[in-house]
Amino acid sequence: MSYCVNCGVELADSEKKCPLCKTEVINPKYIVNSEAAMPYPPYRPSPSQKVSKNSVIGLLSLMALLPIALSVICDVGINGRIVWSGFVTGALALLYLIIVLPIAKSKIDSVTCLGIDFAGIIVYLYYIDRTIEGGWFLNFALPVTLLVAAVVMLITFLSLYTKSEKLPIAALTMILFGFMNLAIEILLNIAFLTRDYLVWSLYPLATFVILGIVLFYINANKPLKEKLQKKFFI
Amino acid sequence: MKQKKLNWMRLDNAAKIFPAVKRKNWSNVFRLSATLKEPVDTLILQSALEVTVKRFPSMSVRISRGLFWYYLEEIEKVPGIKQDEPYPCSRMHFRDIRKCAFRVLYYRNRIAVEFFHALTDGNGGLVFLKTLIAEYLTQKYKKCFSCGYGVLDRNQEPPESELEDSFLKYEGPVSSSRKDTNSFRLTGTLERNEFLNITTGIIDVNAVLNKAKEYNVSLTAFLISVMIYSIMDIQNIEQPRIKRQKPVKIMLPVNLRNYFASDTLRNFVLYITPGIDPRYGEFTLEEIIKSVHHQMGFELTKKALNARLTTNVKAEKHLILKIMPLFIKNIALKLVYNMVGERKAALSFSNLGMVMLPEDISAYVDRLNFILGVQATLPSNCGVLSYKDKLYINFIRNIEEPVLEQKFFTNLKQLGITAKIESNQRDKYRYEISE
Ligand SMILES: [Zn+2]
Repeated sequence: MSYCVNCGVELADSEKKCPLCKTEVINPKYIVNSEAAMPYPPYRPSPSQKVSKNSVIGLLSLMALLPIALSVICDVGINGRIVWSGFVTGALALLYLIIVLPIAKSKIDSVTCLGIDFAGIIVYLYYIDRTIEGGWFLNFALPVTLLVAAVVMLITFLSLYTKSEKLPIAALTMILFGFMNLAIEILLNIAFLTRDYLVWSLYPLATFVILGIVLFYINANKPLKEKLQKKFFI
Repeated sequence: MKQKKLNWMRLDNAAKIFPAVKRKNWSNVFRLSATLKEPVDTLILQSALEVTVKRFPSMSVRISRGLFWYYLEEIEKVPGIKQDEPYPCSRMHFRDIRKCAFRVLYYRNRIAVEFFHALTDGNGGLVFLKTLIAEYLTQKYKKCFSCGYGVLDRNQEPPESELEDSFLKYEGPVSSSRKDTNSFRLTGTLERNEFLNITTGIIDVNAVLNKAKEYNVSLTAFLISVMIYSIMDIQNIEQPRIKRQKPVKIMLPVNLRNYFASDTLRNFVLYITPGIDPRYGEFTLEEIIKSVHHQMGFELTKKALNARLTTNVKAEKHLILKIMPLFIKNIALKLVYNMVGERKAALSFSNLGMVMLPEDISAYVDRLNFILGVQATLPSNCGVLSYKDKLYINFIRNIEEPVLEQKFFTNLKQLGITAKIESNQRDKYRYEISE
């Protein structure tokens, strides 16, 4: 027989460690076949009943197909050709891409995923522009989307894959957002030839750039940062 | 040909609560087991079970649903015996209970019976197990074994007295108040996959009896006091501020057959909740033992128990409760149970006492065991019995941490009583790689 060196209780032959304190039983003078003495059959965890990934994707695909099929049938039935159902199909396909991609490829990194999503958005916008002959794709929609994509992907990359702190990332986000407003107004002016001077974008630019600089300043000033943390933690 | 009509029975007074308060993943189950000297012959066990169930019409039943109450209905077919699980008292689905409310399991030398608590209590279950063992031995060794000590004659027609609801028989004129304070409760990390940990302490019964004698109290009073002492320790660590502590109380089932003449094989149990209030000051073990001893002496008299019993019977007979449709009744009973049922004690400590068998049978039986399933919201329970010269203390828990078990057995060790510990703990390493 063996005893637990920690609790002092005697241990049955089935116990390889003390059931009360998990201390390993080491007794070179008393070696037993613990398997033979086990009071219950060995435990085999039953495979947990997880919903398989493929079944979820299948369900989502079917759910996306239903409205697509319905709208195409309606559209062709009424107009004799595809008029508006292309937009519905495109929007649903885009939504499908955004939802299903992270589920299907769980190992995909977020930045690549966002890249593919934005590519989908660009294709969809191109389709709309061509169909309605808008003429705003190349000189407006494409640059704006690329700009937003670049900013979002950069921020995501910084916050997920670098060890930088939250405060400087927030500061950078503010400043980039300010400049984005500026860029959008410039692009609007060029694309639609509205005016040749800036009207509204300077306000958000100034506000966000200053806020960003304040955040950078707080981040650099350790005691101040700590004091603010103490006052405003959630 | 006319089909044989199945017998049915009302649930007894104590049983009525169990089907009403069952949960999706919990119902009240307990296990009794006997370990023989040789591996179990499954064919003989099945055949012995077929014979035995006929002698126990109140146990070979399923639970059925009436408009106002659940009731017991005799089963047509004896259930098949099954290989034991890695842990005892595993969940009994209610859909299974509606087919058959007990099960027979085997593992190596051991035969175990698990009952849904609405059928019977530990003492009734023990009679079933003993009779099943006697029938098994009779068929295996082709000779006669004696009856007595709870072994029933299988050829005898079951008498009415074994099927009666003794609660109704002993209803008195006055009921006592059920007001009671809430108890401190144990907590921990819930096990995954509904695994139940079982920790058995095997102790020389004379060592414990002698110790109890030193304090001039019964074995049960002594063990309960050590339990309270251990839980008090745990509360001191969890809540060091005495003012904020809660009373520490244990639910102790009392076998009413010892107080009221009854042969019933159905539930005939009441609970008392001895305990201490740590806010009164620091208790020594001696003080706890003394207090528990007197609380038990005060509560465990025929008159006091009669008043308690009357309270329960009066509640059942309340007209409004009676005419409530079953589904509303279930909601009402569940509410009451959630508010009071499991809050009055930290755990149940059920001692079946010294269990005897006729000599020719006990020669084939090495060990008997009694395991109480967990309660719906309390993580631990404790079932105890003595057989031959050993005392078997079974802790069951649905949480990972064996804090209470360790405190209890090390406290006994400090009193000079060494337990031999056996468990169903998993080999962590092995089950992780097989996952
Ligand atoms: Zn130990």
